[in-house]
Formats: sequence, C-alpha cells, structure tokens
Amino acid sequence: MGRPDFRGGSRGGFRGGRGGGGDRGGFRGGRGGGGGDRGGFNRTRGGGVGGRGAPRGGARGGRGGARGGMGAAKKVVVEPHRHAGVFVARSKNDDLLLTRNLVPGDTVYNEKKIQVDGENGEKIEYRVWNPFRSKLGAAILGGVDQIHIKPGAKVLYLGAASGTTVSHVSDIVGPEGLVYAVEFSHRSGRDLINVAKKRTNIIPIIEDARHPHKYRMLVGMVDVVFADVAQPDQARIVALNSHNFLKNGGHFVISIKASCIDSTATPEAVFASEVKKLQSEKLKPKEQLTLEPYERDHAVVVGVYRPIKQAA
Amino acid sequence: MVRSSKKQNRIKKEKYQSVNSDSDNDHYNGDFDPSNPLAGDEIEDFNSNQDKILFDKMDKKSKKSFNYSSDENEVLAFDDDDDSDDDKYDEDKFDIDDEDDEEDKELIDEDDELISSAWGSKKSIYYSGNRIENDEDAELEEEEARMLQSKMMKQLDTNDFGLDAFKKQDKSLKTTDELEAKKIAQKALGEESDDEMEKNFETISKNLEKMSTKEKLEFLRQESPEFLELVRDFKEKMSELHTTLLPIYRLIKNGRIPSSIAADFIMNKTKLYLMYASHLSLYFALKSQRLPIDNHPIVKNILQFRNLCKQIAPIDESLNDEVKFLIESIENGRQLNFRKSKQDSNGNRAKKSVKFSMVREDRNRLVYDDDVDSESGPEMAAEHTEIKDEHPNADKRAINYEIMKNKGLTPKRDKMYRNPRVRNRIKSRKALIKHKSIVPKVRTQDKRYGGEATGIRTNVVRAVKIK
Amino acid sequence: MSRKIQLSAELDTGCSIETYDVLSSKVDLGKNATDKLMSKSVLNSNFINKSEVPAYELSKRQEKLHRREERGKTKGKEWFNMNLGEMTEEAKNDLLLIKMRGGLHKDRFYKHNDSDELPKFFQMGKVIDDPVDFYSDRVPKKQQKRTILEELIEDAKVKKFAKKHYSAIQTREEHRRKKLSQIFKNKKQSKNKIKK
Repeated sequence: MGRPDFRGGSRGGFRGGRGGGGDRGGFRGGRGGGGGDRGGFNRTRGGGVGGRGAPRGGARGGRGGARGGMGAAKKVVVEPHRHAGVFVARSKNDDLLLTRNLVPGDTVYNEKKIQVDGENGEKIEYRVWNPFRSKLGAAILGGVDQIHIKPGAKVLYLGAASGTTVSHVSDIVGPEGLVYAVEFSHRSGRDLINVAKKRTNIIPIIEDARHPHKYRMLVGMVDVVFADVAQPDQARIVALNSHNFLKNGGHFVISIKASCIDSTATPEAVFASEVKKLQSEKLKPKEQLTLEPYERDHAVVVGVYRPIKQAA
Repeated sequence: MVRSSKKQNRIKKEKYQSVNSDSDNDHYNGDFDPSNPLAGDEIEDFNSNQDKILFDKMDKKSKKSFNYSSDENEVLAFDDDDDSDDDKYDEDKFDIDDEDDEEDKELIDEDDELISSAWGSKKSIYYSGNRIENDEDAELEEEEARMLQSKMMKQLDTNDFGLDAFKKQDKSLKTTDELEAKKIAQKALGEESDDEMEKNFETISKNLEKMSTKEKLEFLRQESPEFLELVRDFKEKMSELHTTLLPIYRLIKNGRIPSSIAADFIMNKTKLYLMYASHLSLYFALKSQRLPIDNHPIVKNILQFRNLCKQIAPIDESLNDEVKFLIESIENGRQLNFRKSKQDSNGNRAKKSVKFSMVREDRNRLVYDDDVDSESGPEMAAEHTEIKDEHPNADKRAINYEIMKNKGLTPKRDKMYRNPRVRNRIKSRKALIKHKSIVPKVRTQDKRYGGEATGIRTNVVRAVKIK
Repeated sequence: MSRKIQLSAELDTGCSIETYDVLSSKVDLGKNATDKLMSKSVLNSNFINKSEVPAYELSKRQEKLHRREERGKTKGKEWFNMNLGEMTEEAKNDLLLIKMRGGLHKDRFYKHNDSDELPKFFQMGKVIDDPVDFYSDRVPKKQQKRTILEELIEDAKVKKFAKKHYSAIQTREEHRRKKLSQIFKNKKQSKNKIKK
C-alpha cells in the first residue's frame, strides 16, 4: 500500500476524494504559514510562548458568509451524537457539532448558539463546537471510537489554554461532572479563569503539568485524563498525572503534535514512538486517529490506564 | 331506378337483336353447351360446368344467367365449330326466357310476402337459437337458408340492372381488345385467323359504340384495372413466342440444337408462355361473358404464371445476347455448330422447377461455336474474357490502414507515453487525487465556522485500533 | 405508687366492636372523610370482593418493563434526558428534507445518511443571531421561516438549481414522449397496412 499513515486501508475513498479537480465545498485557498501554529490564532498551550491574539471572528472584514442572505440557515434539527453529551445540528445546508450549554446565554469564543424550546417552556441552548479550534472536536468529527468523557465524569484536562475546549468538556460532563483544567501560562490562564467563573464545574489550575504534586491537593481521582500540552515530553507528563490522579481502568485521551516532539522525523514515526512511550508507562493505547482535515500532523491517541481485568 | 331499368331493357333488346342478327349469320356459334368446350380444354370445361350448376342453383330462369349465356356465345365463337342446331336451340331458349321472366317476377313477389311473414322482425329470433335437435330441423333450416339466399340473389339481379347497360359497352370494348390479342395469338401459333369472325365482332362493336372510346376505357379501368395490363402482357408474350421462342423451340425439337441447360430453359420458357397465354385467353373469355371471376381459380393461376415470368426475367436477360444471335442466324439461314458444354452432364439433372434453373443458369452459360460468322464471334469472345478479367479484380481487397501507413509491428501505444514530462504530470495528478481520498487535505478556516458543509456522520468509526 | 387500674374493656379505644364486624355492620362507606383519605388505598370498598390481596409493590418483572418504558421516552441522562421528538407533519418533512438535501446542492457531495430511518430523538431549534455575525449572515425577522422546508423553498441558490433541473427533466421527458408517440404511430400504421 505504501500509505504513510495509520489509517486503515478499509476507509479509502470515504473522505473527500470524489476524484476530479478541486476540493469539495469548504476548502478555500492554501494554508497560510508553515507548519507552525494554526493560522493567526495564537493559542498558547502548556506554557508556550506567545500572547493571546484578538479572538478570531470569521465575519470580520470579509465578504461575510458564503451563504449569506437568504441562504443562511436558521432552522435546524438537533439530534444526539453517538458520543454521550454531544449533539449534532442539521440544517438545510450544513451540519454542526454541538454541546448543550451549561450556562445558557454565555459564549466562550464567540461561537454560534442554537436555541431549542424544551418542554414546559424551558429554553435549551446548544453551543457550536468548532473542530478547527478544538482537537477533541476534530477527533469526534474524524470518527474516534470512544472519548470516555461523558456526563458526570471527572476529567483532568492538561493544557487547557484559554479554555475553549475546556468549556465544551464542561458542557459534556455537566453539573455533576468536574473538569480540572491545568494551564501553565498565566496569560491564557486568565481567560481560563474567566471561563471557570461562569462554569462551576471547571476547576482552573495555573500550574505546570510536569509537577502534579503542586496541585495534588486540588485534584481528586479522575475518570479521564485529557492532554493537549504539545511538549516534547508529553508522554511523561501524561504518565505522571495518570499515576497521580487517574483511577485504575480510567482512560486517557492525548493529542500529539508531531512537529512539537520531533520536527525532523515523519509524523507517522513520531506518533509511533509516542505510542511506544505510553505503552511503557502502563498506559495502554487503544486507538489512534489523525486529525486531517482540521489539523496538520496531529494525532489523537485514546487508551486505558491499568485496565481492570474483567471477571469472567 | 325505374327509368334506368327501362333504359336497360331497351339496351338489352337492342343487344338481343344484334345477337339474333349475328346468329342469323352462320358464323355465330351457339356454344352455350359446356360439354362442347374450347379446344377440348378440360379445365375450362369444368369451370363452365361449375358455372352452370351455380347459376342453376341460384335461379334457373334468372335474367342474368341468360344474358351472360348469350354473351358467352359471342366469345366462344372463336371455335371453328358450326352448329346451326345450337343456334336454333338458343333462339328457342330466348323466347322461353322472356315468358319465364314474367312468371318469375310474380313468384318472387309471392316469395317476398311469404318470407316476410315467416320471419319475425325481432333480432332475438335470428340469434341465440342455433340449436339443431334432429335431422329434420337441419333440413328445414337448410331449405330456409337456400330460399333466403335465392331471394337475395334475385334482389341483387334487379339491383344490378342499373349497371348492365354500361357493362355491355365494356364488353364490346373488351371484345375488340381481345380480338386483337387473339389474332396475334393465332398468328403466333401458326393458325389462320377467322376473318368472318372478325366481321362478326365489328358489327357488335358498331352497335354498341355509342359512347366515346375515352369513356369506355374509363369504365374498363374502373371495373377491372388489371385487365389492360393483362392484355398488354398477353400481346407481349405472344409476340415473343412468335418471334423468338417458337423458332428456337422447333430447332431444339428437331435436335438441331443440342440439349443443354440453356436449351432446357428455352423449352420450359416456351411451355410456360404457352400455358400463360392459354390461361389468359380463358380469362378473357370469362371476362367477355361477364362471369364472376374474382374467386375463380384461374386468377390465382394467372398470378402464379406472372410471378414465374418475373422470376425468369433475369436469366432471360443473361441469355438475351445469345438468343438474339441464334435468331439472327436462323433468319439468315446460317449453320450452327454447337460445342458440348462442360455443364452438359449437369444439365441432365432434373430441371423441373424454373426457379432452380434460374439459380444455375447464371453460372452455366450457353457455350457455342460459330464457324461461319467470324465477325460476331470474336466480339462475344471478347465480352466473355472481359467478364472473366473483371471478376478477379472485384475479389481483391483494398489495403488497409496499417499497410498504407506502414504501421507494421508497431504496437498501439497510449498517447500519454509520447512525452515523459506530460506523463509524469498526469501521473502525479492522479496520485494526488487518490491520496486525497485517503488522507483529506488539511484546510484552514479563514472565515467564521459555519458547520460541516458535507454533513456529519455520527456512527462511523475511523480511528485505527492499536494492539 | 397506687394507681387506679381500669379494665381494658372499659377503655374507650375510639371504636366499637361493631366497627370491625364488617360483614354485619351497616357502615356507611359512601361519602365520608375516611373514604377520601383511603381513595388511593388498596383496602377500598370492594376489597372484600377480591379473591386475593393485591400486591402493594409491582413485581420485579413488571417494574423492569415499566422502567424500560420510561427509559424509552428519553435518550437518557447521558444526553441530558433528551425527549422523543414530536413527529408532526412539518417535522417529518424537515427530517426528510435533511435526508435528501444532497439532491438540491450540486456543488457538494454529501456524506451518506447515518440511517435510512428518521431519527426518534430530535429537537427543532434555531440559530441565535449574535453580534459577531456579519450583516449578510443575519436573516431579518420578516424573512425568517417557520420550518427548514420553507427556508429551502426560499433559498435562491436551491431555487435556481431546482428550476434548471426541473426544466431539463421536462425537456428530456418531452423528447422521450415524442419519440414514443412516433414509434406508436408507426406501429399503428404498419398494423393497419397489414390489415388492409
């Protein structure tokens, strides 16, 4: 086959390629900038350098939406997704990934909202999950088998950055769940704290994830560890935190950015080596998924920590 | 109708008079008796017998039958028989018929009343009662049916009188036409035409020539469009028989022309033509007497003969030159020496069907050798050689594209392989397309996120399991 | 420590023996206060007529069935108890439309539908306007529609495409019909000829 990624061959032909020239709807122009940060939006993670840029508003200074005017879809149908706590909105044109807003009326990153009239006159609000801004969102759209984050779960989120994905995770876990959001950068930590002010199920921790003992008093046992730290020693950080806080049989979800770990090696090799490292730390990777077309050279690895042998 | 019937009667009387006047002459042949047929032809005998029976059945004393019987006399007068007794008989008959007619009319009226009283006006009486329980019933029904039929026939006769006047004129025209044809036929058969008979015909035609010839032709065409065509055909065939076929036929009979396939063909053709001519003459005879011939078997036969004539036409053409040559030489009194043809042995094969001969005749030509005439011989020979030369040329195939362009053993190659640069370009493009289907191209978001343009699938897992 | 002791029979318990003599007593079980209180009780007026004492609790099996029934009404707490969608005519049309939208967008190739059936759990919602939206992204109130189907009907792009597509189909059909009629005509003629 000679195909250079981890994807199984059985999926060939599903995504995109209808043959012929040009991309399908949604692709516009080439990628700006090299293989670095995502175009223009400086989201720092894990103590990364760079200040917080202006929040990206797509509508700003453009021609507006391509399907403007009468083409704009206003009415949608909201359906549950396969993953718990996740929903899908379908309109006449596009589909949207949603989470149910924990704090109705509140937005975190100027995302779109969808309102539904529930029973007894209650207003239910959903927030649109942008896969370009969230690795977890991209993973869900890409077709990950399990995210293990569900209503009522306790999640340790490493590399929370300004709290975009954290807000969606907090939506998913709901009022009964908890999200421990660890972010080292004070600048993005400010935003994270702002998010956490409105969402009571987020516990912001402005600490280095390499030193879990510094925040061990704040964090209890968790069901899931999510890591998006983009550091060369990512595997070690995850292992450290898992040993400290993850329950036996708990799960981890790690987003790996190949260029952060080894910019010279091929992404596939980097992913493979990371998987090896995880395996040596009693973290058992179960599945892997690259995040095209939303991220370049990114992979999400999902696994289980100290799996409990099920009684036969 | 009344007026027209009166007119008819008048015309009829004239006709009778003319006929009677004819019969006064000894040349008129009262050949009504079918037992005394035309040249002893059994078929015609049978046909006329049949006709007679038919008419008797319909109505023994119907006017029509008499009319036609008198007409029959005219045409059948071709024969050389002189039967004065018959004439007398005819005359007597006419007298009787006139009386009978009146009686008949009364009878018909009575019958009409009877029938109308016997049969109800309701539809249900006629239908759904078709059960015959015993023989007696069947007999009764048959009788009834016959009576009804005869009544219908009578009615038809009276109705038809309107046209009779014109039909008689047609007849006269026909007779003149036929006379001409007959004359030719007789000539062809080497018989002397009967001048007196000719006169006889002229008198009739004179009497009836009150209409212009144009009108007569029109009537004829309307009544039987095939008639003129047949007449022309008859003339043609007879003239051909006379000029070409019969002389050769005689030579073959004498043995002066050796038997070959061509000779057989000529023999068969002659026979065919003679048969055809005889059938036609019968047809004309029937036509002239205004007998109903639509369902007559002779029509079918004539059609068959015509088809056969058409079928042999191509062979005829192929033999045309040779036949011409033969006739010329016969006329000039040249001596003909025939070489034995190769196909002689084949020629002995049964040549029963003309169709069969047609197929073979194309290949087996009449081969002859002309010693006397040195002028026409080489010409024909040259023709033969020409034909022989042409045939191999026609068989040769033209050279094909590969030979013409000298393609030889060069295998067919794709156009893409001509230019390696272009080939690589195309290859890379194709590879990219394939790759795109496996790993979607990374796209950046340059405007506000509006959702997945091509939908979201919720139940598809595309992550790779790690073991 | 001397106490007056009374016989128990003398104690007024508040009810006489006649009260318990159900069979012979003429207790008015009609409209008194106790009946109202006992309305939910198993021991009602026709209790004596029953052959056995009714179970106070449901059987395990029945409970299970009941639970299952209840569970089927919502998607469960993992999806925040999303209710069954109300399948009205409009909702059905909208859901069908979403299933078949691929036919109306010639510039896109939609992914396959997840299932051939319409979803059981769904909610009809609308996108909220927010200040970040560009003008062209907003839809004035007057132009807002009630259902997705109405939106689609008014969609200029889809309209154009549908019109074009429709006319193309019409012309094609017309051509086909003409051809067919010609064929039939010819057949008829030939048949008539044969008859003649």
